[in-house]
Amino acid sequence: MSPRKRADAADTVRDAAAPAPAGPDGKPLTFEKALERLEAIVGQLEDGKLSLEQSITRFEEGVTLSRFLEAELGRAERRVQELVERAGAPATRPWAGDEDEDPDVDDVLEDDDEAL
Amino acid sequence: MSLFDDLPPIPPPATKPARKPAPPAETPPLEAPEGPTVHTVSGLVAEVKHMLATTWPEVWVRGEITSFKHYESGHMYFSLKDTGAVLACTMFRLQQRGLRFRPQDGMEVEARGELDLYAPRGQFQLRVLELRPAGIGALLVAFEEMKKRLAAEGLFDAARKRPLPRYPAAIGLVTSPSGAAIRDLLHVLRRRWPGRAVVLAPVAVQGPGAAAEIAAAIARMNALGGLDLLIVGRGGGSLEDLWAFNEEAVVRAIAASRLPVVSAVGHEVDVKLADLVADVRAATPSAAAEIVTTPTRADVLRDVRRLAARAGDATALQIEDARDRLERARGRYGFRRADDLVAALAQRLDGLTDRLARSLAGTLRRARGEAHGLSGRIHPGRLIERVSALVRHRGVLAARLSLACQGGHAARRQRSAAARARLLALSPRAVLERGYSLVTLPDGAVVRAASQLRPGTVVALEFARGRAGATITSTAPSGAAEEP
Repeated sequence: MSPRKRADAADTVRDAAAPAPAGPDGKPLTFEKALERLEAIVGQLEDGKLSLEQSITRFEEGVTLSRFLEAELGRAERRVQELVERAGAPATRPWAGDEDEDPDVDDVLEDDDEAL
Repeated sequence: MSLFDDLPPIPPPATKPARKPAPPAETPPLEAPEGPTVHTVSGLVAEVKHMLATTWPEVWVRGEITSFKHYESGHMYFSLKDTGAVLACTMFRLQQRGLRFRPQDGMEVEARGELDLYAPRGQFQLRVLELRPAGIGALLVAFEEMKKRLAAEGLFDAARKRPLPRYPAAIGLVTSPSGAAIRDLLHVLRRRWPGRAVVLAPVAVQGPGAAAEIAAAIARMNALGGLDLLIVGRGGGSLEDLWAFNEEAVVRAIAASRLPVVSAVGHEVDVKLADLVADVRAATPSAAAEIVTTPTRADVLRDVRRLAARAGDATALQIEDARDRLERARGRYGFRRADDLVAALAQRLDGLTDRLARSLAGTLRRARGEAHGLSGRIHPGRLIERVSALVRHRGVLAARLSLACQGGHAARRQRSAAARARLLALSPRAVLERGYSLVTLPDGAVVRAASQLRPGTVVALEFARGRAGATITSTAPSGAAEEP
């Protein structure tokens, strides 16, 4: 399996919504890392040991992170994918058996959105 | 009771306290001096019963179920038969707890139990303690052997268990595409974390080939990429239904999985090998879905918002604090001192301006005095030069001052402008501006008295702007006010 194909397969599973903010290593942060970073920033801000400039920079970073996290959390419902074999490599396609969605799922989503 | 105990000559009462005691032997065996020993029925049955219990305390027997009846009391009555014989069986409710399948007619089974003689009916029967499908015994032996082997390899070690990612973006499910398990999984996943990506590897979860399918699906899920963890499982079922999750291929596939695996096999209390090798074991598919969505999306969303609010509060506090510090600094001596310094400089400027004005006035007075004695020596042009030199000097002082003050105040500038105006008011030019003119003789002497003139004298008139020549036509000496 070529690396390119692997990347394609991954794309079908995890399409990017909002671009993730970059971490200290320059790579996009994962959800977990972004949440950890936000927690660290809040800790630093609440410590009150930062200069005013640093505080404001950190605050702006925190706002960016929290927007990214909210966007990730608010991603629209995606259909279940089915693992199939394509040209000898694993791939995915929409799963046909996914039609009987629970009617109350939408209600839950709406409740969440109200809380937004 | 040992098999080798001598049989007592007289049948004892019940040998098994749990069972109904044998009817008491009301009469000893009748001794017929000339005939064989005659037993009572109860005595004989009790003796045979005792013999059965001591000879075969427990037996395994294999046969086909027939005449199966499940009474409302919970007890089961059936027979085991093979081509040549039939054996009546009872299985009481208490013994059925370990039963993992539903016995029915025609089923080939292996039964473990105690041989018994049911005295009231004189019926020879087997009290079944354990029942299992025929052939499962060999399977279980092989299973135990494999389990030991895999355990020896360390596949079930706690040290191998990996933590699940707390916020998996995409979850792989290896299970049947139909049935309760997938419905439960999707339902719980959607409820607790809507929007999470799910990839299903549809597999057969029972029957021949199921284990191979499951193992292959686990490998493909790992090759797919983009997934964060796998849930491998199925709904509840009989031991045979769940057997695929005990097979070595599945166990090894889970052990080899790069992605953390949650096992979710059935509603059974039995632990499958898949459970032992998985990173996390869930009792049911629903439980597995809950484990991988803890915390729920709503919980995380609340946390994120709380964090954002705290960041905002902390920053606002910091800004407020900075503002306070600024206010405090402004009120402190150092800052006030700068103000004082400016005020002092302004005062000094005023003093200098005053002194300048006074000295200029003195100069003018002196000049005027000299003019009386040495008329003609004082040239207005020179006076103006001196004045402007003084003004320049004052300007230099003012510039130095303003430099010292660094951006002097408007008020100060206004004051210095006023001072300059006062200064200029003393200039003879200003006098000319008021309409006077300066009369000089051709030698440059300023005319202060008519006596300096004769009719026909040519004089020069200097106005605020411009000059003119004139000839005196007449003179009239002033009276008493003649100057010395």
